[in-house]
Amino acid sequence: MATIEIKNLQKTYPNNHYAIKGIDVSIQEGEFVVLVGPSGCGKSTLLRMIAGLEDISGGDLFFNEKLMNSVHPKDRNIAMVFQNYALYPHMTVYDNMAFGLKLKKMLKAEIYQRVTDAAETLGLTEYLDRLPKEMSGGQRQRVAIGRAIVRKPDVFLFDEPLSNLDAKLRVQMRTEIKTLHRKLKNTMVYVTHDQIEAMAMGDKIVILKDGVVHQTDSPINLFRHPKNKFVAGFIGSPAMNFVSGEIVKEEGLYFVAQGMKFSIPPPLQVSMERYLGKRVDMGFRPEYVYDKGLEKERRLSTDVEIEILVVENVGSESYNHFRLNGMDTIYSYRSSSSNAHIPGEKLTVGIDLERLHFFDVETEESIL
Amino acid sequence: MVSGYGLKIKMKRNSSTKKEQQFWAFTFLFFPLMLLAIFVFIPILFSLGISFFNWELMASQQNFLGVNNYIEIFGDKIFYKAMLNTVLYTIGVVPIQTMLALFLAFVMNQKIRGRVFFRTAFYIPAVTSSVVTSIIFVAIYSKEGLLNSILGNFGFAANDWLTNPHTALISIMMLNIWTTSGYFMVSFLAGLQNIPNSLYEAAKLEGASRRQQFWHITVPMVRPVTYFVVVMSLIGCFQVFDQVFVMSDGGPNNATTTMAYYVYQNAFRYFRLGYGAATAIVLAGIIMIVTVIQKKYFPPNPY
Repeated sequence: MATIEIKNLQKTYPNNHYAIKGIDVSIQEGEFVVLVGPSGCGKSTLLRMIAGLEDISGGDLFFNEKLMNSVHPKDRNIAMVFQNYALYPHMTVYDNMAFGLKLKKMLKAEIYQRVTDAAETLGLTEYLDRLPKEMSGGQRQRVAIGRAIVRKPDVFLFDEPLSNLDAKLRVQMRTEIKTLHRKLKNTMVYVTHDQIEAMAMGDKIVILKDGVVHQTDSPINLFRHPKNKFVAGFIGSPAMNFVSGEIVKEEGLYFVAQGMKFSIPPPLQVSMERYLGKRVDMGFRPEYVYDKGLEKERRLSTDVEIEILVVENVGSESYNHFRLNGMDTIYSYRSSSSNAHIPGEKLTVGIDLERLHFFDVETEESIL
Repeated sequence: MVSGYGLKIKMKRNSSTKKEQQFWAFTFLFFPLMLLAIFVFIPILFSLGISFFNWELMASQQNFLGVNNYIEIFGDKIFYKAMLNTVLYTIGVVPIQTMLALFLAFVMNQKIRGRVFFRTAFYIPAVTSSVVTSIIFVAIYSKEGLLNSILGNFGFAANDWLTNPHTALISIMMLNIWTTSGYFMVSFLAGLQNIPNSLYEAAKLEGASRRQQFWHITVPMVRPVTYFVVVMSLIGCFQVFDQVFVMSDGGPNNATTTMAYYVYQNAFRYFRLGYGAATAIVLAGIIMIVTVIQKKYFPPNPY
């Protein structure tokens, strides 16, 4: 068990490339934290700095309030699960799991106990004398997790552990890792580039881009209250729609764009005042677009006429892609499959006024 | 109708391409095969043939001896001496050279200063003519040579390394270890670069020291390369000839006569071509047996 405190952490490479530009994250004991971001955002580098596999160029890293910057990886009491599993191909499953314990000169009986316990938890008991090459990808990843468990570490680190697995197995392993976390209650730090995986697994999600933290929050808060346009577009699938427009004043403030005119919801009337006559980006999620002919309860925006271009039917729901008044951008709108649309269909929709997001064009910060 | 016609044309074109491909494949294979036949396969069969004769270059009719040459070999004390020397030589050279090559590769694979310089330096003996390196070592090993002058600084008496029966073979072994370690280092380097870095990282997190990483990860992971290196150097050692020829002529008192050198001696010094051929065949047989044993008990990739 451990708390992790990351303070103004930096990573610079000799060619003056900044991979991590001063990151602050604090991780509570037993928390499951996901580091997520597009490739090259520094999430793996950050994880490897926590592990001690990368040197820290600046800032401080604490485990349980103890400075870890120059502590050797083996003395940090961490275990890491790698994307390519990193199993020793010449050792059996048992030996793979026992390797670290043997190095610690632990008693044979104790090693046996720990390995068989872990194998039981992970359903690997009957595979203990197999070699990694005789196992499937999912089983190999379980062995890698087992190798981490037997060491009883304070912190588990996962570096994109599921990206080499197929989609179905990935969802299954996701649940298994979460179940394991509930059972062991260890601090876990998990890196992924997949925002759905992040949302599904994290107690807390750290969104990184270009070596900077954009937002740290719970999944639901990230979805409801993104701090900036990047987070808003990154979280959610299909992604949030953005429309660029202007704020005008009549009796109250309005957002005007491409033949659309929405009155700004009351809570935002005051803060939007300073954007009067300026351009802002408006964001709305595909989930909050409604067919005006069907939805009568919610406070919807004025009518928006759209023509459906493409329909993706994924079973329980459909993603309808459309263009707005001849603009190039393609927007999406989620409907239930029972209300399926067809390409070429014209309809009138409205957007839930409670669920609009506005962003400053220059800073891209959310206007609250 | 139309589609059937199209299909027919397509099939015809395919088969003609295949024929054409085969033609060119065999054309390209023919010339190297012919060269190999002239310089390798036919000589092997020919020497197998003459090993049953008392073959003489000038004679108009060759005297058939049956297996008598082979019977003579098994009573030949010098042949046994040559065999013992070859085995000693192999036992001395192969393990040291393999371990040294792996060690050099392991060090050269680290991020150290002057890595390119060291790699080149270790590899140069491998691309230098063995006659040249042998002549240089004759000078180094001579009574007034470099080795004695260095050892003299530490108070050792001068030794004539190549004419002393106790040190002659070891001296040649050392030369060979030096020249071939760099060569095999390159093979190991290629093998090392195929080991995923994450294995070392995982081991590092589990508390493995550099040395433990070497023994528990590097050594088992380069096993296929080790197999290749051991086979190649076993064969090379059993056939060692040029260094002996240049440095010691098999002397003193047959202390450095190896099997390959003994083959040469019989065939081209004493002109006993039949007997020489028979010793060559026995040598080939021994190499084959050793390689088969190695493959059976130390397979290249058990996992």
